[in-house]
Amino acid sequence: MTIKFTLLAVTSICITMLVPQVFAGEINDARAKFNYQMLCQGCHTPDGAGFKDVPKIKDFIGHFLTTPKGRDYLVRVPGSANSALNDEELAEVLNWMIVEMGGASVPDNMEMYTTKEVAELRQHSLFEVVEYRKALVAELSLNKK
Amino acid sequence: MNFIDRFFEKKARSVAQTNGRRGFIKGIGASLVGASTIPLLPVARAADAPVLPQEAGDPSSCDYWRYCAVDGFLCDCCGGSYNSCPPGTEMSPITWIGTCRNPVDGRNYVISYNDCCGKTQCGSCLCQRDEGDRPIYRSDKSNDVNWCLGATSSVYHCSTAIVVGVAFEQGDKK
Repeated sequence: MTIKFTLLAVTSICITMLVPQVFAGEINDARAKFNYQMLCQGCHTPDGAGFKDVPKIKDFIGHFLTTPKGRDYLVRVPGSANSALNDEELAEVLNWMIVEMGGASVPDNMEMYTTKEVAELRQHSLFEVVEYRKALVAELSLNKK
Repeated sequence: MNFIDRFFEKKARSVAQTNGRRGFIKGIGASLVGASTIPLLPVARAADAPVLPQEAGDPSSCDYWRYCAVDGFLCDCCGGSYNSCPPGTEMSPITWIGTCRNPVDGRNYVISYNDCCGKTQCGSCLCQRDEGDRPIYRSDKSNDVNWCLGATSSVYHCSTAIVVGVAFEQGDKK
């Protein structure tokens, strides 16, 4: 009886620990975190809270996934599109940011960015991004009502 | 007291009748084996472990390992340290980030060169090593940007060199 219970407990712990890794999909956490630190964190701050004119990622980034235009924006924004990352790493770091920092802003039906999608979208890097973002966020908030 | 004696005697006898001594030892053994497997489970323990590299050298000297990409006055010579700003200055929350190899363990660490702002230039220990520095058109990789623009005062005083993580090496496992 004791053995069965112990086995059951150990199995439950194993399953509990494995589940989040299964959902993490293709994200290599160590690489994604390193790329965030090297190419994003300097301005977006370690937890994505942003500062002054630096846009907030934390608890906000997920709102962009509620419309196709918003989803495209996260790749087309110059910091993403013009970054030194290849398409796979860019898709990975975006997915990582959404999962790690998005919090309640992430929609339930969120779909991960794919390498192919990112490769196509980053060809259309945005200009006048401050104005574009302001208009986009206004659209997103209208969409939520 | 008799009541307590009787109570424990009864309980002890009841346990002895229903559970063998070997069963008890077996149970303890199984629990120990079970507990010992927990540290082997696939958990990203390194992910959130504090990064505290073993270090050697003089933090007020420009050739100290953390300063491989610095461009400015070392806060360690200005009343602060490589981790903290001198009194009366404010650490800019936005910063430029690079990696440096620690000669003690041979690993590359991610270093955040947060500037301290709000007082005129410190003037001591000017250090310009610039490894990995890129031209200003790659502003996120250029240390010529005045990162104090992110602070309350944009007046630059000195630079820190804070270890914020271990660099990812190609070939590292997930």
